[in-house]
Amino acid sequence: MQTLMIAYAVVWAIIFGYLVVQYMRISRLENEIENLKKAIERKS
Amino acid sequence: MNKKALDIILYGLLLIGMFVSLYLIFQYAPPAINPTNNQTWYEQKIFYVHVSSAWTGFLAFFVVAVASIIFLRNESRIADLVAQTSAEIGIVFTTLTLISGPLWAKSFWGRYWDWSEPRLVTALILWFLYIGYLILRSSVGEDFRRARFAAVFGIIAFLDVPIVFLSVRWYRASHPPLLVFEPGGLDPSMKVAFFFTLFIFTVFYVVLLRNALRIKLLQDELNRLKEVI
Repeated sequence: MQTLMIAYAVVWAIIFGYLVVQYMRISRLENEIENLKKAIERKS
Repeated sequence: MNKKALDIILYGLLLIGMFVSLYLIFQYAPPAINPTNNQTWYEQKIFYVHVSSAWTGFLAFFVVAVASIIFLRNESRIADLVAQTSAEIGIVFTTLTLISGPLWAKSFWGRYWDWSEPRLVTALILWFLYIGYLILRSSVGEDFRRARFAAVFGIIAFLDVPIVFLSVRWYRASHPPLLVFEPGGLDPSMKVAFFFTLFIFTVFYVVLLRNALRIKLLQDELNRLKEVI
């Protein structure tokens, strides 16, 4: 049963880990957009 | 409440939910007795992740069908993105179903796969249908035309979902039907563990879909801004 419990924990960890990766990617994209918007403002 | 605060609360609740689910499955719900040999059947606990991932896959494909219908009616780009993203997530959860199912089957039937089992075969067909859907989406051709083809394909492919679900009732099969709602089907503590896990999987799906959509929309905006600059 211990193996099964570890397998469950691994599945949960993979899904949750992917959510964290998604969150980091969203933050990075938001920052890039913000920087580009500032650059466009400076240009105009 | 801003998006970041909502994300942190949602992620925190999911993390707690994951641990609660593990506790419910492995401590709260008793192990079942294997009807074939009357021994404690720990592998039955695969059921919680197997059924929950199957349900989430079906939900994802339902969303693909609904979003495809909306896209065909009003050509909404968001609906098209929802359909594509939901299909990707649905494949992940159906893959998990197709991995956990044979592990459970081995402990019950003594073999991983049975080609005469209608639910196994129809579930595998479902998986291939949505792999085909994604291949169609990534194929070359004009974007709008491809999206229309994919939408029609997404609606037709969904017809396999009720077939997967009802196949064990239509044909003589060894795969057990879902006994959750039937009297004497599941121990009450197993029901608690099952419904909680089902809930957590559903929330995972919603958050995955929301995040993936945000990424695609942000990427679109970034590309648009790069063209401007």
